[in-house]
Amino acid sequence: MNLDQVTLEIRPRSAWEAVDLGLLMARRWWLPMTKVWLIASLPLLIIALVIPTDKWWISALLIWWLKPLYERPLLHILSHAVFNDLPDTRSTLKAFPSFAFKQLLLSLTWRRLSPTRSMDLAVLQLEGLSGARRQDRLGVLHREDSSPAGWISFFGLMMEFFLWIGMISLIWSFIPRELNIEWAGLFFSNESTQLIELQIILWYCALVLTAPFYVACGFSLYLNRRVKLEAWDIDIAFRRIVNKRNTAPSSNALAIIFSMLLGLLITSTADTAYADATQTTAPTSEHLPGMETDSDSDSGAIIVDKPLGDYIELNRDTAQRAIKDVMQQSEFSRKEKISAIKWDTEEKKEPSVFWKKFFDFLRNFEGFIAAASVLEILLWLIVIALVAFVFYRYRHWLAAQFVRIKPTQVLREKPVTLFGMDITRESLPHDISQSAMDLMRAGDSRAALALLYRASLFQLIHSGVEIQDGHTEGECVQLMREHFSPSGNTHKTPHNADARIDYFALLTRIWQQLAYGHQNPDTQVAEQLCKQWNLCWLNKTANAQGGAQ
Amino acid sequence: MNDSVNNQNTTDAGKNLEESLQSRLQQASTVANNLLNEIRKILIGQDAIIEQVLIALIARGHVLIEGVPGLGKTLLVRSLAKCFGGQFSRVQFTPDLMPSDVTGHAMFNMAKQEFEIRRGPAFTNLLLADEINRAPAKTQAALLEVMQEGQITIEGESFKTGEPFMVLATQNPIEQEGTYPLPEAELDRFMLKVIIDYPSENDEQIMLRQVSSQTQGGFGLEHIRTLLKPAHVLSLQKIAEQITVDEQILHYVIKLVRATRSWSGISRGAGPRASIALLAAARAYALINNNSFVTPDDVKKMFIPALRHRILLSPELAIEGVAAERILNNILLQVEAPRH
Repeated sequence: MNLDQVTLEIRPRSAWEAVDLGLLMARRWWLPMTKVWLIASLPLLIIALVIPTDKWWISALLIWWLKPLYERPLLHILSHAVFNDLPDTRSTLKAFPSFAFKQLLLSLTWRRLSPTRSMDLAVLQLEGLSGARRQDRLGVLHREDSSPAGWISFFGLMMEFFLWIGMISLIWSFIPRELNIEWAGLFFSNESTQLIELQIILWYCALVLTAPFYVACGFSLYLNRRVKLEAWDIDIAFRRIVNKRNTAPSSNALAIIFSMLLGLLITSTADTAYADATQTTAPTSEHLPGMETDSDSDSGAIIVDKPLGDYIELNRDTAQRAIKDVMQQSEFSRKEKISAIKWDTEEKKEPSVFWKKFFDFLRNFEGFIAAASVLEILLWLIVIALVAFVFYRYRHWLAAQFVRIKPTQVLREKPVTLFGMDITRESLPHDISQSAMDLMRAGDSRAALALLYRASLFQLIHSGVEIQDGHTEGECVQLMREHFSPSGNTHKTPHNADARIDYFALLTRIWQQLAYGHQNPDTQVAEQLCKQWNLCWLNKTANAQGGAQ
Repeated sequence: MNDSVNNQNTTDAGKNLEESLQSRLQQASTVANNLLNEIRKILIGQDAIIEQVLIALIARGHVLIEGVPGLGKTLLVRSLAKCFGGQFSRVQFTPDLMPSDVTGHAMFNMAKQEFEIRRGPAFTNLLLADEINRAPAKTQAALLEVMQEGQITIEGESFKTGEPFMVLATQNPIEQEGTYPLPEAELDRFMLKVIIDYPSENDEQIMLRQVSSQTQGGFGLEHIRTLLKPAHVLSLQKIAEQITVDEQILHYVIKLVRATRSWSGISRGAGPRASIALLAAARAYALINNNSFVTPDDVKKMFIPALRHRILLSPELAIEGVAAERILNNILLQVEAPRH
């Protein structure tokens, strides 16, 4: 392998780009490839045609099954042509036995149906790997950019089939309408076996047309993987740099001088020739190439002048009758005896009777109805399970897309302690204002304010303000403001909401000063707060009886 | 009798001290708010950001300002520098910036035949490290000592920077190509990380009107008055340090910071430096709001700016694009507020 000789533009390609390169390669070397393929496969075609026509499928299968065998010379051609060493047909055929039988049995048995056959062939034929080493190598090659290998097998098969159908259609299109031939039956009916050979030949032609492209695409995928794995592009770039550096300037100068001399020589000879031409036969407008002279057209004059006759419209009925008459003549109604090789079918009578009986038995087997019912139920169960699985698998997405159920509001339990304080009804005295005043008079202003604050929180929680553990005193005031704000509040707003907010804000401020600032509150303000509690929260005077509700 | 007189005298002295502290606090708060209002005139619609920068200044911290280009990050710093009349240096961080370009270096004086120290731009009061994440880690690391110690060591000799000293670093969150994310040690030295966002429509209109009315198309920086001297800033810092912090507040700060270390969704929580920074910032916030004591609300207010750059989210949350602020908000909601 000499990368200097490579005829392709070597660069890492995407997988499908590599397939495209394969198609270009097949077009470039189509003729030598097709020639070798035909020569290699022709003996098989002959064998296939010899096989009795009632066993036509054996012929078709034989040609199709042995495809890996005659794909090998194509790969041989490609692998050499890529490195600018296109082998001729003779040398390819000479080399054919050396690679044709390499792991042939495996290639024609369990590897035959491998979808990546076209790509894998190079590992076997060019690298000569087998067994575990081959598997390892294939593992590396298939790691990426190998998915089109399976697709080209599929497309190749489809292409063969469509080409075959196309060629049959082409032949049918040549049959005049006047001939009432059941063409489909002609080709596809088992009884009319006259055209089996033609069908096999057409199938063979379809294979001829597709094989070079299939092999080239697979090989191109293989090359692309090697280019990526072995960094051929970088290798080539380095080689170019080395070549450029190795080319001595002296040799360059010599080459320039030599080419200049050669150029001078050519120019001088050309001039002489031109001078001669002008002297002898200078081209004139009468003798411009491409213009016919009178003498040239003499012979054709009679043909041109010959009358074509009037246009007569073809009468299809007349034509059909004429064809019928012709067909009824003895030349077309004679009987011919065609001899062909046929399998002796006498022995097969017995098994056919067996199979007939077997199928009759199956046909009349009543258990089928029950089995069918069971099968139907099973199928339905599978369908339901599949639908259920899809619903389960995508339940979150479906829920997000379609289900718009408002989540039920979880009723939050009212907290019994907040900021470390017991704020249950039982923990609070009957008359808050009075109790707070008593504490104030006793000189425990902290306990008095704590009681007022605790009772206020109890009131807030029971009026629907959602206070959590993380909320600070300042946030409680803010929550209260939001709760009793006129906009968007579903709760019943008390008539003295503003007074309550102001009271609570002041209480909070005084409480914070005491708790965090260690500043004793002004006695008057504290007493005022104590007195106003009942009025503010319960609309009662300080002396009135009644506890927190 | 004597005892009671003594007690009376002590109480009076305590009251007087308290009153004088109150009046000083009152003054400090007024000064801080004046400063705030002065900068507000130039930087419109970024009140919260100005406040946070001022908090960092009062709390002896440094600020990392993050925001898309054109939101006035540099203008904020320049106006702050002008307001307090201190020295101001600006270093544009670039990939080829060397540590000595920031701190300074020793240079051989041929005439005197001796080495002399050439001080870098870090010897100032306000250092603007513009686009700090454009410089490689070694240059970013040059700031480590100066940010923590307020001094720079050149050739084995330590030199004090200006007093007060504050680093204001900016970084752009959208262009990540060719940037060097700040190392954790560096991030941790910033007291606050301030996210500067687009102004509201009204504010932008006012700003545009104001800028278009300027004769030379500037931002009117020349109209800013110098309200303070560096010494005044130092007094502000001292007053802030005298603000009362209740034991419960200390517990709350520690609880919040410790919660980041065991919170699901945070793979690396904040260190003790975060607690110190949070408390200092809360004190400064209380000062600006004319409070002589720190409340849990002050701590909560400063929690996100002080912690957002000190936590590392778990890979799952980071991939989902969950912001650190969301997690920190959850912590604030779920960690119990102080109990009395």
